Amino acid sequence: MSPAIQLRQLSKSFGEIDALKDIDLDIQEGEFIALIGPSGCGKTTLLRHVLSLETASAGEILVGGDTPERVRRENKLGIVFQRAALVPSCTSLQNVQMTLDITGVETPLTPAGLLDEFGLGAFKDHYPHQLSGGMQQRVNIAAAMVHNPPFLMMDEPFGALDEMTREFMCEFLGGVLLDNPKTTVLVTHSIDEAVMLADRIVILAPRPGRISAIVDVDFPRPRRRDLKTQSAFGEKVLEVRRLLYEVEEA
Amino acid sequence: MTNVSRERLGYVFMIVSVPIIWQLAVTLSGLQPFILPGPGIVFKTLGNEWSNFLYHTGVTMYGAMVGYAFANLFAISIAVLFVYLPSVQTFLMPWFIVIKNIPFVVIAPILVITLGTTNMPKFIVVFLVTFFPVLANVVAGLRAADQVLLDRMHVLNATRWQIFWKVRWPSAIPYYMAAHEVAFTGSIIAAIVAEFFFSRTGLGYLIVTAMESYRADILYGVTLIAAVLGLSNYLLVVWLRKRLLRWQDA
Ligand SMILES: Nc1ncnc2c1ncn2[C@@H]1O[C@H](COP(=O)(O)OP(=O)(O)OP(=O)(O)O)[C@@H](O)[C@H]1O
Ligand SMILES: [Mg+2]
Repeated sequence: MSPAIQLRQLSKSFGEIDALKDIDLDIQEGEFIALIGPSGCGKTTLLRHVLSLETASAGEILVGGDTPERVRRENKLGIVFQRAALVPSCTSLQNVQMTLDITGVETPLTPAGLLDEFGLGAFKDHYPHQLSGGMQQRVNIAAAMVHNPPFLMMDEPFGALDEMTREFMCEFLGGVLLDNPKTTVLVTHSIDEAVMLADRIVILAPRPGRISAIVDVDFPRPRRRDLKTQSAFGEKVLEVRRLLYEVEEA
Repeated sequence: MTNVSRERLGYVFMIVSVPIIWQLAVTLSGLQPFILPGPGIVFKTLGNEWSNFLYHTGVTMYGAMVGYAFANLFAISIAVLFVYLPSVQTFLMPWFIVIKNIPFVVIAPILVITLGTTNMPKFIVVFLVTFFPVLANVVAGLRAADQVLLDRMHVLNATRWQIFWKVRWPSAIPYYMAAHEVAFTGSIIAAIVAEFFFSRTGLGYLIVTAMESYRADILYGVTLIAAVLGLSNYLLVVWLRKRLLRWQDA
């Protein structure tokens, strides 16, 4: 079976800046990839290409064997950014419902059911400004997943949250994806988060943005928080950290 | 005490204070009534000639509202064009900047000479004065739409229409309200000034004739009417804002 997402010699420059240079990466169906690397190394840019929000300067991207543009038109993409993309004048429920209204997709998931599952049953009629950061982000993820897209792209979704909420959200997301498998790319600055969630961690190096290493993570799922107390987890974190240091010092 | 009733109390206090302070000023200054008439004289004039005042106020309001309605219609339409077709903006902007910076008191007599003493010059002057602030604010509001939300809409394949109604227009509403607060009063000022030049009716005409016959009581009466009109608009804006942005204090 061909990979779900294929990047072939993907390059992108913004004027003088080579944001991405000759990226080659195959992502398998249902695989969870964490993208990690120093600030400005092109993580967001890579994600935006998969989402058809940017066009490549050179190279090729195939998503499900098709161009990102076509995949987008088939409503197969879900996105979560660091800042929640919610309409301030719409309630949680309306914000999630909006995804279905716009895409017109029919899924077994319902906005109300998803919010219940996300622990927000009592907050369906609340407006975004009445929710905590973690709650907003859960609404945001619900809105990104309610049309059950096979591809889920997340850019530092938990970046603005405190440590404890982050841990909770991390475990929560792992569980949600176990029930609704998707090909997922997560951009993160947290090594813990990457090791906790990913099947493979892709480490990017800056100027020009390129892949510097790929680390396999094969802890069994579901992965619970107490995995972090095990030494194997610590060793994996250490391995990724060393690779990151190499990138930053180079 | 609730905020609302406290606010009301402030207005009641002002309305009661104005005649008192006014009378004090008359008594302490010792100015003649034909220069500074007291509230008693002015209210008596308003009472005796109420139908006259009402008629001229109606004429001015009619001119102001027709001009302002067209200004809104055009300003909002052109703002939408600017945002969706930047080339239109490139083409029109130099014209707008020049026209905007010609003082409207200079344009008014030219319009009277060209168009005669119809209502047309008044409509046009009001239009010119109110069109630009509404245009500038609506453009700014449409452009201030949350980029994250726009990206989400794009990935979900939203139509331009959906993006406009769900993201851009809601973002423009507060900007539009701010422009309206200023432009509405501006429309009345512009109508009155236009009437100075040629009119046989309207508050502007009333002011000119009152000055010629040293009727300070009429001038103060017109001032009171203008203050009431301005305040009514302000209260209307506050009410509209509460309705349109009701979700904010839910
Ligand atoms: N629209 C743009 N125009 C010009 N340059 C851009 C644009 N988007 C990104 N860049 C440049 O491309 C490079 C990569 O940016 P990108 O946002 O992908 O980094 P990142 O890895 O996501 O960083 P961070 O971790 O800080 O979010 C940076 O040097 C940035 O300045
Ligand atoms: Mg980024």
